[in-house]
Amino acid sequence: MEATTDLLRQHAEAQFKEELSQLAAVDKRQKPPRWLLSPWAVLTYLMGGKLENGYEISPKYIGNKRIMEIAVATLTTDRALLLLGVPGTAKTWVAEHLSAAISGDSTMLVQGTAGTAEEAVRYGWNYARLIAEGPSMQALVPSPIMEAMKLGKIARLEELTRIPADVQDSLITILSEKTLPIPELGSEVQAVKGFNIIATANDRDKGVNELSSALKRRFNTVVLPVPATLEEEVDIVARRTEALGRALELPAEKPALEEISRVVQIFRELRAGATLDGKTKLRSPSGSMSTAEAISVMNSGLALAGHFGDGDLKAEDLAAGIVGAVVKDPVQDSLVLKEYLETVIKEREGWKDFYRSLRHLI
Amino acid sequence: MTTSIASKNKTDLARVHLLGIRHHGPGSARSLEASLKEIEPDIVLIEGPPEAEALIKYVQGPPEDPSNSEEAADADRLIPPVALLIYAKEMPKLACYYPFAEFSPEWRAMLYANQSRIPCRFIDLPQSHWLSMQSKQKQSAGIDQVLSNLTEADKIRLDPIGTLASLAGYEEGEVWWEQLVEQRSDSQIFEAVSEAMTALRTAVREDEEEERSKIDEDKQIFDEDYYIEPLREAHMRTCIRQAQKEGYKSIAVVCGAWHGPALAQTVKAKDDNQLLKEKLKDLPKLKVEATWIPWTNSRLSFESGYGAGITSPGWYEHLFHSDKGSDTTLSWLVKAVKLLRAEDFDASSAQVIDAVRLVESLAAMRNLHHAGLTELQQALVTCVLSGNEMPLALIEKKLLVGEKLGHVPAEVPGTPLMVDLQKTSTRLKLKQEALEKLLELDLRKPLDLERSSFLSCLQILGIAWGEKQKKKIKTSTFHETWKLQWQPSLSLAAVEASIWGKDVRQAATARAIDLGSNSPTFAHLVDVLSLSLDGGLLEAVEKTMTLVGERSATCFDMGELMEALPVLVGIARYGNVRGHNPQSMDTLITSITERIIVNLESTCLSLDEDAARRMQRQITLMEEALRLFNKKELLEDSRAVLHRLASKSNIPALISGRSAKLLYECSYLSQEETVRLMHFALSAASAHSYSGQWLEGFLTNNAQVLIHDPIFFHIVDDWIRGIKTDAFQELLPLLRKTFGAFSYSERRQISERVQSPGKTALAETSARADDDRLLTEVLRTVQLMLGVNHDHQ
Ligand SMILES: Nc1ncnc2c1ncn2[C@@H]1O[C@H](COP(=O)(O)OP(=O)(O)OP(=O)(O)O)[C@@H](O)[C@H]1O
Ligand SMILES: [Mg+2]
Repeated sequence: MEATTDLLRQHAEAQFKEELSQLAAVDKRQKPPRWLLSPWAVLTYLMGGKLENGYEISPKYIGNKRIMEIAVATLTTDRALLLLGVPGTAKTWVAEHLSAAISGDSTMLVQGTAGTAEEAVRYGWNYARLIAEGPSMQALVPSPIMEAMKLGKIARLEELTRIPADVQDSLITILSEKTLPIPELGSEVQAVKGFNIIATANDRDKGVNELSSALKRRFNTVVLPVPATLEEEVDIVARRTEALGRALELPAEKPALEEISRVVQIFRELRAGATLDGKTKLRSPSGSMSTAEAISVMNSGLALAGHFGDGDLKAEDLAAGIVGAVVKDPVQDSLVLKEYLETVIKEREGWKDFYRSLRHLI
Repeated sequence: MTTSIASKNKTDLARVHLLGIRHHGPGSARSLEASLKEIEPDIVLIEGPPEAEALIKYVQGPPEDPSNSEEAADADRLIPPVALLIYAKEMPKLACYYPFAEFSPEWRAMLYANQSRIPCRFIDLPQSHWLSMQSKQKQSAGIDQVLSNLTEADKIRLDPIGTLASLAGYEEGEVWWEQLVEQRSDSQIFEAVSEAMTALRTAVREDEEEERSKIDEDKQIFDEDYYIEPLREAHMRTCIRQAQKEGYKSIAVVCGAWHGPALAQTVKAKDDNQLLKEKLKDLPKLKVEATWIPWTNSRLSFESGYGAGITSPGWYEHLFHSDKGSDTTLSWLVKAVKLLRAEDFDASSAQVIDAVRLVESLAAMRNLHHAGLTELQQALVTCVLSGNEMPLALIEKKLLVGEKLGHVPAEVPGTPLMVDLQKTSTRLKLKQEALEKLLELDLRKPLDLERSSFLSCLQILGIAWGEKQKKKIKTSTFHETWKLQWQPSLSLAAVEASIWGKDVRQAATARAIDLGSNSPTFAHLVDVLSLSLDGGLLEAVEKTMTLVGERSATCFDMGELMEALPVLVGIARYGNVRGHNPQSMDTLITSITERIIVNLESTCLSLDEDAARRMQRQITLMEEALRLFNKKELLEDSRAVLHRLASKSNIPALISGRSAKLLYECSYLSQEETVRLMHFALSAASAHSYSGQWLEGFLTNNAQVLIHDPIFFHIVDDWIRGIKTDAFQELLPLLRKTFGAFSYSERRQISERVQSPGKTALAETSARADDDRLLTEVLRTVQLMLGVNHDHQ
């Protein structure tokens, strides 16, 4: 059951508290040190399933179970895990749920940006105290990673490749020695069993800060793929749209599977550069056409339909969102979309409404 | 498992050891070898085609005496992978393959028998019956079709152990077998397998009874299996009884696990005999032949006489050779990492260790006692390859397939393909001679046409006996010249080609289709099409035509399409010489050309110099092809595009120049318009390099225009005159390239024209300048440019 609060978005461990405790109750399998659940239960939490007592765990990750098995197995070998993939393939989502299920805490998070400094990865100082008392443990401000090391929990590192190379390097010691030296105090923090790092990185906007091979070697890399089939992707979008719609209290009707399926088809075709039947080759737009964007197209469509329309989701409610997702480069991408409309959508039976609404906008 | 089959004399009971194996299963091969050593049978009976029994004797291990070193190891012996080929003598199309790898249990059993010098027999239902049943079917279905028609029950029957394994959560039968072996001792394992099979058979039988009541008449594959299985088993039981009757005391029976329970059943000899007699009496007697042929690891994946194939023989080989347990994992990963390093991927030992740990952890999570190939590959990707699966594809062939070609010694009687090759050569009066020889063919004569087709088929099969010479004169479409030479290595090529089929035409068809579907480039595919047509292989022509159509629709490289046009047009025009209906080819050419026309201009916008040079050639090819093809509208449309290419200044100069040339020469452009274009290209505002390239495009193979057309000569002359010395030096190589390509006499004529007084602007100007020194210099420059040494009078 999902708890209801006024928070716009809750942490996974709070939102799925009930599921986690139900799992813990039936979980008799061996747990690695400081894991709240066994690897099996973590996997069940991610993939969903029915417990012996009939309790239904909702699926968080929709896709190949094998991939999640590799991710969980990696964490049991206390190798750090790097989730890699194009945007919107649920990297952040999976990392959050993994740490929620394993450590009961998904908040030890470093958000990687170009401005991420070493302090965010290691530790900083409370300068008032530093000046008043001199260097001491009390004057030290631990990073989320240091915190996780002390507690034996999972730390998350978002967008690893955006972090400047020299800051990335400071991770190497942490990952290989499992200690964090504090030369100012002549001391160190040693990681407690159960500590590990889950990092995410986007392999599409490459070249931001390529991972050094030394750092790369310290991670097991699991690639999250774009959904393999139309059905799978429709499933993802449908579930997420519904869950988000509920969370955002969107007024429109439950989205018709039919519309989702058409939006997803458009996304998949443009992403793959070919129509689903493989007969027509297409040009792909510059954007990523990710599942996450398909979800947000559905959501904005629902909002439009709810607030301004009659509550019934129509092609015209979705069109603006689709154009927004496709056209990132105003010249090239509009051409791509136009070509797609004229050569594919126009001829497709029962798609007239999409053709008209989209044609209207570009 | 040891059992007894009803026998008259209870006291004289022979021990029958039923050893149910998995075809191509290295695990069962190992268990089998262990059991045979323990049992010490005095005869080995194997599920295999009795007609091939005489060939068992060729199965020999490497010579045991190591002192004979390498030579001995290379001795001419059977080296797997090889296959037994059984084929109907009169109709070699009807055939069946029984492939064996080194780790095939049946191979190990034959080897054991030969090494222990005990008799070894094949006891399956003779292929003469089996093949004649096939011949009764209206049409023998292709393998793909057969596989897609399989019912659930058929699949279980083909790989019952795989079925059990997947029921137990294993993706792969072999890993499961290993686990079974560990739970029981080797000698008990066949009992365990037999128990499981009994249960499986009961389940399948019930299913099948139910299915049968619903099945309709034309599902022949199902029907055939349904009838043939009991027959085969009756035959095998009969053979076992025969061995007992002959007084063998310890009989080892090696058969697919599926048959174990049936062979253990107590059935009266009389009943078996009657069943066989009744079912087989209506079948025509087919004469069959058998031979050994070399096989390849990748072809082990085909369905064959031993049921479904295997997809990763390299992995099986590894399993067969490595010791059980975690060592399998480590040594496999080490092997993989070695191959990766050879492909220039970084892979450290530390990563291998991480991978081993991940494999173990994954297996544990998946409740597997042993990690399988899946876990190994996933760990490699995750720990060593940074999540990137692509490198695996690079080493897949070496690692998973372990590509190998088996060897068959010369003493083994030949393959049907070789026999057919011989027969056909004799019939077509083509002698296999070591001396090179030219053969002139007139395709209007049936014999010559057949010879040409035959030689083309051999080319497709990689048997390079004849080489077709390029035509010197384009007009005689009925005339061909071949260079023939037979070399010993061609016999080997013929044996190798045997895996494609039983006679030359059939094999060439299969090979052409395979080549076509795997063509790396569009041009290659078109070549395959053209070869298939030359070979008169209408089925292959049809298939490759379809492929050409499909690929042309998704090919975005206009250049590739344009290069293919001449060949396609050639087929459309001359195809009927070989009895091919060119109608569909016309449609194809039209649609390809239309695509080129639509895309050509935008393609030309973004070309670097090399690409532009290629494109210049390609548009020439296209124009020439379309002139031959002679469809007015198409030609008009394509010329309209060329006109745009000639007129627009954002198109590379080479291409514009060439387009202008092509259009002028077919009178699409008037002289006036062409002159305008040339003026424009050579106008002062254009960069010299632009003008130079335009000229290259315009003048290549086109000297005549300068010789006979004073206007063009005049413009070029003016332009060259206007270039400053420095710039001229820079342009010189380009100009020399253009002019140097003309024939000597052309260059002479141009040079003369330059010198002839009064006629040209150049001479006039020089005369006006009245400066002898200047004239000499200009002329020297012109000579330099033309590359002629013309004595200056
Ligand atoms: N396979 C999937 N299963 C469940 N949800 C998915 C799946 N793919 C995408 N989503 C949904 O897409 C949304 C976006 O995912 P997320 O933010 O984790 O992407 P990301 O891979 O981190 O992208 P980025 O690279 O842009 O950070 C989430 O709400 C998630 O639920
Ligand atoms: Mg993210």
